[in-house]
Amino acid sequence: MARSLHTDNLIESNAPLNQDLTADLDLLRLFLGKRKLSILEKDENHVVVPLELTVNLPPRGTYNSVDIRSKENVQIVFHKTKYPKVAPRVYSDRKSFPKEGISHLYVSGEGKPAPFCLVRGNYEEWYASKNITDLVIRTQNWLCDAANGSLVEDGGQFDPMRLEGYRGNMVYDHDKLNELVSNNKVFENSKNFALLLIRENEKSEKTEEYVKYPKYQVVETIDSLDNLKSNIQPILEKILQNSLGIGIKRILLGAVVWDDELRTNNQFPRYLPKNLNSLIDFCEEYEIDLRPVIHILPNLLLGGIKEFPIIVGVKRPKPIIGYTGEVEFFNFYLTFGDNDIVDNEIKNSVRVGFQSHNQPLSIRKAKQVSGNEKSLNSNVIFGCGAIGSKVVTHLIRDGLVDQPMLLFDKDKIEPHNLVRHGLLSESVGQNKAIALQNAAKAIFDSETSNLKIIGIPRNGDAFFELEKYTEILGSVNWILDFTASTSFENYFIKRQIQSTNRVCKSFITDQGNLGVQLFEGLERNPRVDDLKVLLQSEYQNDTDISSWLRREQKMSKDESLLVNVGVGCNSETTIISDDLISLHSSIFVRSIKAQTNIKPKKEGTIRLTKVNTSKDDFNIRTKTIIVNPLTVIKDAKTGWEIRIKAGVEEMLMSEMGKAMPNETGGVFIGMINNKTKCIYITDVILPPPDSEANSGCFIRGIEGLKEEVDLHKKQSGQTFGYIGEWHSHPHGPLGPSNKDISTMQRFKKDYIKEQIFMPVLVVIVTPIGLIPCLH
Amino acid sequence: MAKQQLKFYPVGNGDNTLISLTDKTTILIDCNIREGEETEQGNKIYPVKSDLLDSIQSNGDDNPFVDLMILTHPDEDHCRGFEKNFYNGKSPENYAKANKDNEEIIVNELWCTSMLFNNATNNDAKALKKEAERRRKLWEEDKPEKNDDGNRIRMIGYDEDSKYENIPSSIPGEIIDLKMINGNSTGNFEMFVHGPFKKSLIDANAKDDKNFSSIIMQARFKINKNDLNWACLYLFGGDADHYRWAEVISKSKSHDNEDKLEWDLFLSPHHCSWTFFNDVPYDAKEENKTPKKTSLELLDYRQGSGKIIGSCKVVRSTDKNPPHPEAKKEYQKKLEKNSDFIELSKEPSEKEPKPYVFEVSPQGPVKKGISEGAAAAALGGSSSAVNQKSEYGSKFTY
Repeated sequence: MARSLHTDNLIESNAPLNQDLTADLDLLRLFLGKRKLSILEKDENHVVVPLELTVNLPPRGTYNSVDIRSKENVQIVFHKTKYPKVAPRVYSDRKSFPKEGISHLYVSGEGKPAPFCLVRGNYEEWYASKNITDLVIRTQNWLCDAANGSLVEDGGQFDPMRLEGYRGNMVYDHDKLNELVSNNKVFENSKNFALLLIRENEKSEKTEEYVKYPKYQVVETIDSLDNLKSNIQPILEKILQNSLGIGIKRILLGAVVWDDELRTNNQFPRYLPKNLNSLIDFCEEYEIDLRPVIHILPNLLLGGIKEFPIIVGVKRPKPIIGYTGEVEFFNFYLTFGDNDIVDNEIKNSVRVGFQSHNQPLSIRKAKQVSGNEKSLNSNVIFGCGAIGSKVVTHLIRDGLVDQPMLLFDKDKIEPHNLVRHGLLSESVGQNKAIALQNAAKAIFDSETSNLKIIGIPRNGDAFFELEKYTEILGSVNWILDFTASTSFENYFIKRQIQSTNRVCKSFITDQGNLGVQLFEGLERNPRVDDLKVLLQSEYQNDTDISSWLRREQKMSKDESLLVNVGVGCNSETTIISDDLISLHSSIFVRSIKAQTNIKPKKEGTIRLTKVNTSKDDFNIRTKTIIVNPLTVIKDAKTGWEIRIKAGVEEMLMSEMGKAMPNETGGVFIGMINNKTKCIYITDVILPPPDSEANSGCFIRGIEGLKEEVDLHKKQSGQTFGYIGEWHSHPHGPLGPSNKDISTMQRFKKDYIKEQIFMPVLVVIVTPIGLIPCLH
Repeated sequence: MAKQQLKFYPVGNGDNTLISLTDKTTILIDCNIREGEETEQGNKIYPVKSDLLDSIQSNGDDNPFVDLMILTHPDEDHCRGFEKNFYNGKSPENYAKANKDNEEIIVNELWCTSMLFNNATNNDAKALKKEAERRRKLWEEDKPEKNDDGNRIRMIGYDEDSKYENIPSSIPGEIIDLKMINGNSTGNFEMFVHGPFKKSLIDANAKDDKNFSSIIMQARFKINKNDLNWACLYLFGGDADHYRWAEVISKSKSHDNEDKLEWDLFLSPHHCSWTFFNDVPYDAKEENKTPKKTSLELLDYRQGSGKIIGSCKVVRSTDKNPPHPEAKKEYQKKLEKNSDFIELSKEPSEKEPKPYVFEVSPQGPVKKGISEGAAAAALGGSSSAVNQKSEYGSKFTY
C-alpha cells in the first residue's frame, strides 16, 4: 500500500527560484543520482522537495519500537528567494510518522508534518558552513539515530522537548523546582501545585516588545500561607522604598503544577496550548489536573496584575540533559483581559503563551562553562585597582568564589577610574574591594551564602597587623600583590609569612608595554624585591631591559637610586589604555593559574610580557627567567641585609683560590635600597690591571674602572653602579684588618663630603665564606 | 560525547580492527599494514597508517599512541607493519625526532600470549617479541616504570612457564575492564577472556601452530555505565579453529557464561576460513565438508540482525582457503540476510575498499552514516586534479 504523504496533494512548482537555489538543487539531484528532482509548490514563498531516504535500522529493532522504517519519506522546504540565507527546513513527509516517541522534533500542530531538529545550536549558522548534500546526510543520520535511540539516549540523560516560538523567558533554578515537585511539596494541602513568587525582570518602563515577550524570574517557592505572608511582606516594603526612585520591578504570583502521583512519562507533546482550555487538555495528557490551581487563581492576581505564570512539571525517566533532576518543565503564562474574570471565576478560555527557561547562574555552572579552572584555593589580594579588579573579575567569572578570597584596597572608585577599572559606573563611590565583593554577589545572586569573597576597605598592611587576619595566614595559598606600590612592597618584604604561602607580585611598567610578574621562591628567597632587582640587572644581557631602564630614567624627574618601577593606574596622569591593562591582567591570571598547577619551587620565577606597538609593527613576546636563591647575609649591628646574586659567592671564592698565595680584590656592582636597608650585589669587577697584591696586602687599582662602572650606570639607566668593594684574606684573618678599617673610614669621610648617604661596604673573602663589613 | 566505534580495516587476508571508546581510549586488535598503493589485482590498498593516526590520540609530547594493542597471535597477517609503524624496542622516554618524523605509534599497553616469546618467526613478530621482552624485563626487575604508558604488558592465558610469573596476566573466565587498562572508569566497556586455554597454548608451542593459541574474547559495550544491558557484543578470536571454539562453548556453558558467547558482531575466524567449521583441506575427506555442530551453535548466539565480518580477500570459488566460499555460505545461512556477511574487501567497492565502521547505539551496533562535509573546501595532494598535467594555450600542439 502506498504511503500517505503530506506532499501528495502538492503540485509541481513553476515559480522562479533564485540562482543559489537553482544551482544547489541541481547539486542535490546529482548527489542523489536522479535524472529529475521533484520540486513542488508549497506556498507563496516556499517550494518543497520530497525525498525518500534509506535508513540504517539497528540490529536489535528500533528504540522503544518507534515506527521508523528502512525507507523514510522526508520533505525539504526551501525559501524561493531568500535561500540560502534562510536555511531549508526538513520535515517528515509520512503522515503516520511517530511524533510522540522522538525527541529533537519541534512541536507542530495536529496533522502537520513533524519538523526535525537537526542541529543543537544555531541552525542557520550550521547551514552557513555546510552544503546542501550535508543536509541530506544529516537527515539520514538523524533518522538512523532516532531509530536506534541515540537521539533520546544522551549520556544517560533525557533530551527535553525542542520548542519554538517562545514568548519571553522565565528564570528559575531547575534543581530547586525539581526538588519541590519530586517531594510533592504542595501548597497548603492542595492537590498538586505550589505557588511561586515571581518578579518581572525588567526595570524600566515596558515597551511593546516587553509586553509581548515578558521576562520573569522565580524569587521564591511557596508551600504554605505563612510562607506566602512572610515572603510578601518584605517585598511590599521594598516596593514602597523603591517607589521613591525608578527601578520598580513588578511582583506577581504564579504556580508550578505536576502529577501528584509522580508517574514517569516519556511522551513528547504534539502541540503547545494557545489558550486555557487547550492548556487543561495538555496537562491531562500528562495526567496533571490543572483545575485546583485554576479554581483559586482569581484570588492570586496581585493588585490588578493581568498575568499568571504556570509551570507544568513532567517527570521523565532520566535526568534532563544539562540538569540533575528528572522533571522537565514547560513554562506557560496566562494573560487576562478585562472581562475574563467575573465573580472570581474565569469565564473565558484566556490566552496562553509559553516561555523558554533560563537557569540563574550558579557557581557550579560558572566553573563548568569556564572549563573548570583549577582553584587558587584561598588567596589574599592586595590592590583592587585597574589590574587587581580585572584579575578578580576573571576569578569571579571562573566561579572560583567558593574558596576564601580576601581583597584589600582602601580607595573608592572615582569617576575617572572607570577608564581602566574592571567594574562599571554602578560601582562609583563604593570602596574598590567591597565593590568587587558586591559584583560577585550580583553575579551569583541565587547562592550568595556560598560566596567566600570578602572585600576589606583597608590597605594591605591591615592584613598583617590585625589579629583576625593574621590568624588565617596559615590557610592562605596565594598572596597576590597588584598594588604597584613601592611603599607597600617595602613593608611587605619584611613581613613574616607562613612557609605554605606563595607570593606573587604583578605590575605593569614602561608605559604599559611591559608586564612583570614576580613569583617568590620557597622561604621568601628570592623575595619580590630580589626578583625585581635581578630583573633589572638583566640590562647587560637584554637590550629591551636596558632601554626600558633608560626610558624610566629619562622620565623620572628626580634621579632616585630606585627606578620608579610599576605604574600606578589610579592616577589620572598615567596614560595607558584600558586594553593594555586587560591584556596584562589576563596574562597575569593565566600565569598564576599555571604556577598553581606546579609544586612550589626553591627558585623564583620572573615572567615578562613585552608589548611592542611601534609605528609599523605590533607583537607580543614573553620571557621567563628562573632565579636561584640568593646568598643573604644580615649585618646584625647595623640592620642592613646584603643580598648577593647566586653565583657571585662561588666566583669570589674561585678568584681567591686563583690568586693564592696572594690576596686579590675588586669592586661590586649592584644597588642599594636605603628604605629597606638592603644592598643587592649583582655583579663583580675583577682587580683593575694597575692593582698590586702580595700574600698580606691588596691595593685595588683604578685603571679602566671608572669607564666600566659608568658603562653599568649608563646601560642600567643609572640604576646599577658601584656599591662597595671586596678583597680576599686567603690566610685570614676572618675579619677586617686594621688597614681595612682605616680604608673604610677614609671612604666614609669622602661619602659624607660628597653627600652620598649609603654605607661603605667591604666584603672580605675568606676560606670560610664571605664576611661583610659595613661602615 | 562521541559514540563508541568499531572500525574494521580492509587489509585483505589479515586483521586490523580499531575500537574507540567514549573517553577516546583506542584499542587496536592486530595489525596488517601493507606497503604499496595497489594490490596485484590493481585494487587500491587502503592507507591504514594515516587513518590510524587520524583516529587515535596524541600524548603530551604530541606523539601518537594507542591505549592498548591486542596481538591475538604472532602470525604475519596479524602483525604486519608493526616494526615500521609502531614505536618498538626502546623505552618510551627515548622517543626521538626520527621516531616522530616517522610518526611511530606508541603502544601504551600490549596484550599477547606466550606464543609471542616462543614462536616469533617473521620480522614484525620478532620486533613485537623484542618489545614484549623489554616490557617483561621491567616486571622481572620490578622497575617502577613498568606501569608507565608505553611500558605496560599483560599476558592473556597462562601456560605454566615460570618465566611469565611476574607479569600481570588474565586467564579464560576473567573480565578485564577499562580501569585495568588505562585507569579510566567510564564503566561502559569491558572484555571477557575466552581463550587461549592452557592446553591450547602448550599444544601450540609444541606443535608450532600459532592458530591454536589465538586470544579469544568478547568485547562488551554499554551506552552508560548504569545501563542494565550491553548495547554491543563483539566476539573475536583471531585464527582459532573449530576445536578451540567447541572448547569455548563447552567451558562457557559449564561456567554459566553463555551470555559471553552472544554477539552482535562476529569476526569470522581465520579470514573466513573453513577451519572454523571443520578440518581442512575441505576436499580431503567427505566428512570435512559438514560443519561441526558446535560451530553452527556458536552462530546461533547472534543478537538481533547481527553481522559477521569477513576480514579477508574477496571470497571467490577458485581461491585456496582462506577465504573459503563454503564458509561464507554457512555464515550467510545463519544470518538474517546475505548482506549481513560483510566482506571488507568489497566495501564499499572492490576497486577501492574503505574501513567499515560500526557505531554503538542503544539498539546495537549500527553502520556509521556518511560524514558531513563543509562548505569550505580545498583539494588535497592526492586529488586527481593535482596529479594530472593541465595543458593550456591558444595554439597548443603536441
